[in-house]
Amino acid sequence: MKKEQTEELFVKWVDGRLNDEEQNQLDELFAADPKLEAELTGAKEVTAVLQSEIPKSSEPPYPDFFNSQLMRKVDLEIAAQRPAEKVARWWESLRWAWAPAGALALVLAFFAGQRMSPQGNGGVADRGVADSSEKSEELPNVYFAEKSLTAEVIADADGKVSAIVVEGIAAISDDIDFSRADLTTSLPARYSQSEERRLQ
Amino acid sequence: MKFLALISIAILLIADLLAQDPGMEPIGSLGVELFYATNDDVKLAGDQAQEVAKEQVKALKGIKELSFSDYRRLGADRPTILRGYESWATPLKPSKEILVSFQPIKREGPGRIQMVLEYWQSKRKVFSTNPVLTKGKSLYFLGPEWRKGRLILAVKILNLKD
Repeated sequence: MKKEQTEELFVKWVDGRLNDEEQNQLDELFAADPKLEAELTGAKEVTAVLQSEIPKSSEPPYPDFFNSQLMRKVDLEIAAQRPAEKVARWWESLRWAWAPAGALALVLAFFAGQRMSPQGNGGVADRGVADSSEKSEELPNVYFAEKSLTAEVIADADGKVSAIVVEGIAAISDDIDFSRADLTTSLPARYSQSEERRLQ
Repeated sequence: MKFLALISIAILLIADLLAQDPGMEPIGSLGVELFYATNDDVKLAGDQAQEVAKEQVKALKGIKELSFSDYRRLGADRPTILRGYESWATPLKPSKEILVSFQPIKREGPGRIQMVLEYWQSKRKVFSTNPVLTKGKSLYFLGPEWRKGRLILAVKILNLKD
């Protein structure tokens, strides 16, 4: 008899679930090895004690509340999983479009760059309203520190820049007297570095 | 002995020349003026403000966006343009409320140079631009409001080595 079969017989015997044929087989084993019966009998006694002390099942306290909370937890888990699955499916459905979309984005970025910076200087905030003829080629770009600012570049008859009108700069307080030095705030670091270099 | 001394002096002079940073070479000067422009009472500019030359007024009024009834000159500075370094103008000395930093980018022919100009107000950079400046020709910036008027900055190349 195979080892697995004998172990199955032992477990069934301890649990009292042997049929007649299996009981005969076990009796033959007991006859061959008297110690085996003593060991299994010990195991059967321990099992009996455990079964008597621990009930097979017990009712939870407040069963309705317990069940409702359990179902609520299950529902929440299911609801939390649904969007993720949806997103995954949505991306999967668009996977075929990634390559053409990337190519389109490159083309658009190229044309956007052309429109923003005809001279190839890049990062232009505003280029003003000078005429679009050849004369405006050397008009400057204006870069702002804040998005709220706007600039209008004005060209003269020769197409050269003559003025830049900047709107949106914070007004200077009327209390400021330019004839006095303001020592309350520090100067830009670059200014100080430039002065140091100049005085060396 | 004299020969050795001459050689030593010559070596020191050559070493000094080599040690000089070519970027620090002055290549010209920039004129930076600040004007107060208003359609209100021009006396609001203060006692320190000066009359503006007629030619300058004519030039300012010739640009529609810069046309006001009265102008006053608040200050001026004439800093050196360095070949390879940033320089600064403080047109309102001793106040440093308004600063202009500038640095050459490239020559654009005789008397012409492209520069990076940055306008600083209250120690903060407000905007920068990269105009091609022509010697003797002013570039104006219409700036912030102040005392019921506007400040106008004028930048002009005064001298430029060819």
